[in-house]
Amino acid sequence: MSEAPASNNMEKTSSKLPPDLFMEILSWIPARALLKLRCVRKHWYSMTTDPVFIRFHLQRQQLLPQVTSVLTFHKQPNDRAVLCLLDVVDAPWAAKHVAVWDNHPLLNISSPCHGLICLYHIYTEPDVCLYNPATRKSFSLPQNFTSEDILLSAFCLGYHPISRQYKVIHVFCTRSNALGMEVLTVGGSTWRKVEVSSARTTFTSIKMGRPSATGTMYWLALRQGTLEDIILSVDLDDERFIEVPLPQTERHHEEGYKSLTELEGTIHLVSHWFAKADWMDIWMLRELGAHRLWIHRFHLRLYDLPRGVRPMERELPTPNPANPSPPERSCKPVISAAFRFPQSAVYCPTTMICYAVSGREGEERAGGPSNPWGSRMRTNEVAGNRLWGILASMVRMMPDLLGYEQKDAKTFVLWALFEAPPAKNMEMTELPSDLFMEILSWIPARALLKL
Amino acid sequence: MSTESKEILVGESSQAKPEKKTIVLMASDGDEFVVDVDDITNQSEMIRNLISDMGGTDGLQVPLLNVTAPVLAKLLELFNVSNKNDDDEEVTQKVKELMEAELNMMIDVLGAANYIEATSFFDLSCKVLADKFKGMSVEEVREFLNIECDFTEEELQQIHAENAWAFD
Repeated sequence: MSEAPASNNMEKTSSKLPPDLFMEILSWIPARALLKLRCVRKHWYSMTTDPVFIRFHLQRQQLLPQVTSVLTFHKQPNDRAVLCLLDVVDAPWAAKHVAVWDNHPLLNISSPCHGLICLYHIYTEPDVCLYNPATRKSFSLPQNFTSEDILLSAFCLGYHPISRQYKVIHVFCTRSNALGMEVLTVGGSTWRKVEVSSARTTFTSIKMGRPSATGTMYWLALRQGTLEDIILSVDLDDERFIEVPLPQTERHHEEGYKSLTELEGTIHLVSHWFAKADWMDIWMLRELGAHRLWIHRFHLRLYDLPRGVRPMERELPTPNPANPSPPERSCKPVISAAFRFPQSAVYCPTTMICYAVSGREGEERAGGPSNPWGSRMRTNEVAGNRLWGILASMVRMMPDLLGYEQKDAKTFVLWALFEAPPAKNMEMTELPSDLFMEILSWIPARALLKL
Repeated sequence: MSTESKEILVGESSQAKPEKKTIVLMASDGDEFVVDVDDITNQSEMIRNLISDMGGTDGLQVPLLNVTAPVLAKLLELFNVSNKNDDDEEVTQKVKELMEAELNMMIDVLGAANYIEATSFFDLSCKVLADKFKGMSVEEVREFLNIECDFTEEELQQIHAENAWAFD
């Protein structure tokens, strides 16, 4: 076509490296490697610590389809709390400790938002901070709460894509057992009270807050007196508190366990009915302006596998004909493996990860017995569907988790690292510069578990 | 099975259009490259927009002032690989080979792809480089790119101490 290419003159490389090009290239590199590589030269260091790059990097890392890391938070009987990272892609599955806290029996973490978590104690005393496991940096929050009368506390972190602000919501219980909420804009210094007088619920019945990609925080709770499930929400923009009705279902009278989770940036309600048969229904919450609409997405039959049995693939039986609303798309899920924790385990808000489901129609099945996990991971990538991606990855994690579980019967909480795959049009945030200078979002995983 | 049917499809489609529309790309040194309109608009947003602005492709000549002939030839060669394969595997492999053999050329090609807004090819190539860097030590990256360290020893130690765990 034309002459031979220019001679391979390596000496010229450094002079012709266009800075913009390197910003593009470095944005695809996961945080940990980037922390190291930025000392290649001064320009790389200044570029990767610049908020513009950090925002860009977060955006890019969230685009990556594959799940590569899972963050687990786990409490041991000796009052030690451990935050671990599991690299899902590179076998073997060795957990790396990110942080260990001794003598913190009441340490808790919020659900992740853009790779950040809020670390706090139920009794607010020592410190409330935001923590970035990717950089291992933390940032303390002001403690000038709007109320002096606080007995128990929980915190959660969310992001509003329009105002581009991170906000922390503090849910607390006063000594007179009243419920309170207040909001802090990250980077600001003042907590603002949220009016929750209409909430007929108690602090202890409120489960972990889950942020949606559109900037609303949701909690599952119990109504005082009747003990019905209710969903509470606070809009992170106008900071208004509202109750969201649950989806209508004929099974409401049955005994079931509900949990809220966030998948693909959207809040999902997972209901697990176990009285007669082991079924699970999953609804997606559509947020249409002020309206909230539940869409039934999946109806799944779950199987128990005895401990120690390797996961197997089984066909899902025909959906229950009595099921009022058929799943949104005509997919026929295949249960690749279903695990239930031993009875001693406490159900946590992330129960649904205890189950692994994989496959849509026509999709690849698990590989041979020698490597069931490897082929499962491939399936994820092909599917490119984060819901399945997350669930399928959990399969691989199970042996490790069960390992933990056997050693201690306490609760442990687990999420996908990058919890909220942001909606396509989601804008990236303005990071408060002092704190988040260092946030290089996580791991290409986009994060599996949402951190 | 699926790959076989794909090959047949490719064969059919190339026979089915005897009369290809073409445009001319001019490299900075004046060399002209005749390219298939569908092939190039498939990759380059800039040329796609240009064609729709001009209202047609008749006798269209696009001067690419920043791109030399060897670089343009290489870029078109890679586009060709990319257009012929539905998945990115083949073209990823070609980009890798180019990176290992002629890094300078690879960087020029990247610059050219960016210039004509060949977004998906550009992102793919950036990822290839990122994957390469990801597994390298700081020294290896410097050597690979042939760049000098401009930090002082103290500065390096300080950065190292900030995130010592990342260097394990």
